[in-house]
Amino acid sequence: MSTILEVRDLRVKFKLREKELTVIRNVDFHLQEGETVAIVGESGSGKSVFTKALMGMLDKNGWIDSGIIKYKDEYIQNYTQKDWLQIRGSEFGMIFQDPMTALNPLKKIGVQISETLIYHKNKQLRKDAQDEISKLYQYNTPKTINTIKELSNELVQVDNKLKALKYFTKNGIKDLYELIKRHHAEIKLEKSINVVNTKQSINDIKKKAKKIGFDPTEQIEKLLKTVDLMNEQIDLLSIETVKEIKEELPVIEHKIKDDVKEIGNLEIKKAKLQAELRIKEKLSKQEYQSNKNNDFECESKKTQEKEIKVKLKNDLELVKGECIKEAIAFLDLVGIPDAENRYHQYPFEFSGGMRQRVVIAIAICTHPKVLICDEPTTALDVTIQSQILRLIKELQDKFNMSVIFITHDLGVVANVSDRVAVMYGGEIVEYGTSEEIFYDAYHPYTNALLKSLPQLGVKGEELFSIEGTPPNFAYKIEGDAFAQRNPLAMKIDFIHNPPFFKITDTHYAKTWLLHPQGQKNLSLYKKELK
Amino acid sequence: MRKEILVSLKDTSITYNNRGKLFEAVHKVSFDIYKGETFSLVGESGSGKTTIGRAIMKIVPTSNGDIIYKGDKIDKKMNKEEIRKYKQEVQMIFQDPMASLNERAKVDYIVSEGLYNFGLFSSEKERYEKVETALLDVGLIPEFASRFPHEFSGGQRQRIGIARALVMNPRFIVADEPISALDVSIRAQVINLLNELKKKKDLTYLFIAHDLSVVKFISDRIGVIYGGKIVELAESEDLFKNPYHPYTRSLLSAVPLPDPIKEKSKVIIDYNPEIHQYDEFSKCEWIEVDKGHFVLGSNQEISKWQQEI
Repeated sequence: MSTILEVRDLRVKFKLREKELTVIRNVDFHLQEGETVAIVGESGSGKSVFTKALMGMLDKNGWIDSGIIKYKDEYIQNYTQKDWLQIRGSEFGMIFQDPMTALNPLKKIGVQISETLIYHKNKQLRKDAQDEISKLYQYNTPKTINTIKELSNELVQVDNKLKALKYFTKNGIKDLYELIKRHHAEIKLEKSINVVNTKQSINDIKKKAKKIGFDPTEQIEKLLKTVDLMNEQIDLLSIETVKEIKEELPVIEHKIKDDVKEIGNLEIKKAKLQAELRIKEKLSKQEYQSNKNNDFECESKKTQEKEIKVKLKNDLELVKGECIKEAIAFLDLVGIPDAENRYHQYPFEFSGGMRQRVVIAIAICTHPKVLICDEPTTALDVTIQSQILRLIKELQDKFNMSVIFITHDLGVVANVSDRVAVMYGGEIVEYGTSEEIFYDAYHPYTNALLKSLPQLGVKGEELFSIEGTPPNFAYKIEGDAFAQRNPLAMKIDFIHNPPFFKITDTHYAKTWLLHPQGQKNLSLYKKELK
Repeated sequence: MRKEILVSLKDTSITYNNRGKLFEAVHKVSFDIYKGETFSLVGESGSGKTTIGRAIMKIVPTSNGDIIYKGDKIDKKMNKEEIRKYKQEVQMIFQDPMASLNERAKVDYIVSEGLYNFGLFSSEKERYEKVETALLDVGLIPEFASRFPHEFSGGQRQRIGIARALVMNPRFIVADEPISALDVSIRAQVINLLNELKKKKDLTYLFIAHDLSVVKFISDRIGVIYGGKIVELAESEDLFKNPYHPYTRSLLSAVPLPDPIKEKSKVIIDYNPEIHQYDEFSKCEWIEVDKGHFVLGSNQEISKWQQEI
């Protein structure tokens, strides 16, 4: 299995009332060929914005601030709307939440499918005809065309390499600083735990002293001395680790230096290639002019061109009929009975489930490689929900699609997904296979979501619910975004945003509970869950 | 101890008249709702569950049968005084909190609109006190009264919808899919709130939903409705343990489980209404199979279903 879609360090920002909001905060994500990944979170956690960024459908006041999106071998994060038109639909398909608003109420449903098909087929036909015509007036020799093609290909490759290298050198330095920063955070954490512990023991001693009636000062002094010793040890250790990191520094710096050198070399190569290309193009233009002047078949070529254009017109007409037939076939495929007659009906004549089937037909009729389902069953009944989920699964197997499934209902996720990513406050806080997430979740937010499902509630008792609301992006989020709503949050959660901790090869969680210092709280936390 | 019947439907049918075309949305439905319980109606969209709720609210007229509230028939012409009294005691909570609140009015007005219509206050101070207590009851702070609905999240808006019903001091509340449009975490908050209010104010609910998992948690008795007919009615534990009717089984099998292994191996039962073959010898009847557990079907069918359990 190969990775079809990869997102690294993505940041999406929105401008709202003269204020910049960071809505997606450094998200890493990848999608394998043929698998289903579910993104779970409450409304306002950024899951819809994330997938819109993947499809270039952000609202006008939003933009991708940094990070890369790689689809197959293309870097698509800087695509313009024109570039997007080339791959949207044919490579990415999308199913929307509300079939009521996703369909045009004034158009017959069949027409809404066939117009998609016609658009994509016409695009291909027009391109073919254009190619044929330009071949007619091709006055350059094949050799010059080939050299120019090779040169421009090489240029693109060098450019891509350059982009990747630049990105990684920038991040290499960033990683280094992150390492040191994290180390300082650890030391702070250790010391703060020490302080809390000593305060507690001093209080204990004072209480005991009061009960029995002896002077506690001596014992407290002893305690403080040991604490000082401990802190010293921590400092010593920290000096050692900083030393270690600093020893690592030259290696990384050296690598970065190499990379910078490489970048310089590549830049030179790029400039050379560009110059060469310019010369070659100039030459080919001259060749073109001279050949054109010596062309004696000009008249016959013009008639040929006219023939091609007439043929294109006929083809465009013919395609319409074909597309209607194909659209009916697709209606049949998604399980709409009596497709031929229903082709001519309007959306209001369909029930919610049938309407959602039509939306699915529109999304898959161009055979996309990646299908994004944005809460496809939230507006539907339970029985219809299970039918639609089954349909999406069948189609996925049939067309070998990769599916990104967005939902807030963890019950739905268990059915469809191979892997689950839990999103909160614009970050992915935990990801793993669906078994790992459902049976062995670590992040408090994942556990809270699982616990609040009514399927798991005991009658007569109060159902568990997460207090409060998701964070407001208008204010800077400090520490773990979920700490505000987590009754068992630790001190560190409010200060530092935790990094990802590895649990298994496929399971990562972003919580301080997995830090060696947090292990004690983890066992407490697990007990609380039961 | 015999429970007191609050609302009772007897052979109620409801027919819509669409330009001369008659359509029977609900066909001869009868059930009782006891005082202080939560009775749930479960079924897919188009099954007539909302129509029943609306008939109890006197929004749509019945074409056959009776609806009885506290011993009085209510689906008839009532005089003004009776209607006033009835509409004050019976309130409704709507599905979509985004659509059911007046965007142009402040929360203060939205909550007290019923008070204005019924003249339930003698002074401005009294009215404000009533609004304040209603907001506090649903877990909102009284300062919210001066804000507009668009300033609130989905869960808070649904709370405003509940406060609007509560301020009238009702005895019976029809909740029409009050949580279907909400997020999972907020769903839990609203369910808890409804349960808490029921205990505190001694309310009776008719709860309309399509998701059996939610209904199991909140209700005392459940009626499963399909195509305008109630096909099974039982206490909630009993229904989950011994589902007789194939439609109930199909609904139960469709509930998504938060457990990947069970979920991926589970078989979804499809319901096909054509399996019922009724003739003179096997009439379709409303049969009590167990104490308080009713099923719609013929005797043969029921003995067959019983064996399957």
